[in-house]
Amino acid sequence: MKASFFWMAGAAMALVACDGGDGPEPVPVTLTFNLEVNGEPLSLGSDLDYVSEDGLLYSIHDFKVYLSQLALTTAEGAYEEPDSYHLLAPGADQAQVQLVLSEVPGGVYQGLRLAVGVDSAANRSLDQRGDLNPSNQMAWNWNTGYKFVLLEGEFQQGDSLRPLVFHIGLNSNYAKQVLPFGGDLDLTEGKGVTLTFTLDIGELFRNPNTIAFAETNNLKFEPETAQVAENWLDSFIQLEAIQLEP
Amino acid sequence: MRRVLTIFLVGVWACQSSEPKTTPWPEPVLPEGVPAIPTVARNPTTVEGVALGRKLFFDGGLSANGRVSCMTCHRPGMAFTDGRALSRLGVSGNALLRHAPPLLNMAWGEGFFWDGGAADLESQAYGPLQHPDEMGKDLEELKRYLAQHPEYPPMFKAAFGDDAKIDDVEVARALAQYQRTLISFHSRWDAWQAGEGSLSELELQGWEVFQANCASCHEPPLFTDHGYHNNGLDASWPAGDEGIYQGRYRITLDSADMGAFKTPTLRNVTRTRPYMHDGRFKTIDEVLDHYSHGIQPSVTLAPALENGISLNEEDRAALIAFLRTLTDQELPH
Repeated sequence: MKASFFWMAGAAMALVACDGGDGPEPVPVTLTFNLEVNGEPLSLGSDLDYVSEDGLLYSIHDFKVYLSQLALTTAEGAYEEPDSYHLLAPGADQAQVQLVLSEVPGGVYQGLRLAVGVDSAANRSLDQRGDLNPSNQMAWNWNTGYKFVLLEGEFQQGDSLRPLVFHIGLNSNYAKQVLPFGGDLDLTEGKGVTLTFTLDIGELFRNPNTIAFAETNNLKFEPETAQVAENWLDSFIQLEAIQLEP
Repeated sequence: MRRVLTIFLVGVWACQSSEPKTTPWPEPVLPEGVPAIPTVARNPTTVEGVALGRKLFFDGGLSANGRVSCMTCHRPGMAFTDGRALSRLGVSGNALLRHAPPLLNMAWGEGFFWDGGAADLESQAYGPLQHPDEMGKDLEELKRYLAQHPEYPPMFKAAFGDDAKIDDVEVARALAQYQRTLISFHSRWDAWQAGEGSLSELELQGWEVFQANCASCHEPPLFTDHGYHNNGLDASWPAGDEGIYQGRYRITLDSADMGAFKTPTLRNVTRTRPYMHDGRFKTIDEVLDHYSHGIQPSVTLAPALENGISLNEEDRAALIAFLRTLTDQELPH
């Protein structure tokens, strides 16, 4: 019997060691991102649905963005999602993307911290699985690193359609931002919550830096990429609603 | 009792089942002065991984048309170069914009491609694999090809464990492992350094000339400083083709790196012609002519080359004799 108890304890320890779980039950936190362009839902394709800061019509064929180092902040610190890399890659008729933080411990939270892009530690090798795998077409294979934001489309200038290409990465453009909840979000009772954000692509081109497509329509490694990176810290991602499960 | 024991074992198994039973690649005996091979925690070199990497390296199935392998441009008998300035042997038939570099002693490399743009060999693999003028392979097609192949699936399991995926991550890791085993230290110069052979008087004179004029960048025993220098090939660098003519600058965006390219190793230099990142010099003589009276002055020119390297006829002959002693008699393959 003693031996049997020993093995049982061993088994319990082995199982705990595997999933690493201890403490209270996690609370599911769903993050919903409504993708918009100047307040209208994103529609990928060749229609010239949008107007640039300098009044030019443009389309978006493809748009993808990495969000990384997601964390829910508390008064004392934060819950930091492990291995936190998410590629938001909407399909043709998709204007909303969701992701779920499934291991958030119960607690009182004050904001969501995240960064657009990929941190310098992960940005130094393409030897990665999941959302960072190069098959997602967001890696540069001649200059190891990731595009943080990819936007490709066309804009109309006079009678001609010209390509619009923004592939923006670089460690110097990586910065965390906090989206405050405007008060305490109490998740101690184990009920899930959905946080809804808008992610307005038009904001990449304004506030504080105005990007005029007539002059700037193809950015990859140019110093001007820093202007877009400043813009995505401003009003690019905004919290719209907090909905607690009943 | 038996049931509980089973649960315990299952628990342990669940933790460890993805660990492959692999054999570490035996560390080669290195000459004195050569630093230990740097370890790669995420991708240790194993016998099974190297076997898979070698098979992948020589397989044209990794290309869009089924005919271009890594070996097409990196031939073992030519110290893993191809003898061409700018190859047209890729899937498109278009000339490449850079010359195929040798792949020896890559385990010590600190940056890959002529501008060091790839931070490790695993990342590097994605370049030629996908480039439309090189192998032009779609990664999804690559996975399908390997999964349906009669020999690959068991090799992936042997190298990366029973639960291993047949994925581009494993392909890049296996190719990197194989390349890290391409080690070259069997030249006459190595034997002489080890006290096991002799060099002629002319070769010894060349060794002196080399140390006085070349060794600051082509640092023995690897015969490279792993650095990037503008060695005066050009005085202007057009911005087209994603900055490929601008050298290290396109990676660092630091104006001091404009026109700087990686110092290649001089080991096996007799087997790696033509020379420079674009293969513009056909012979060692042409290279020495450049250093003697062809240097193009510019702001970023390496200071050591400001006055060129002038050698009299005797020293030049001695230097060339010495460079021939760096040819490996037992090239890996």
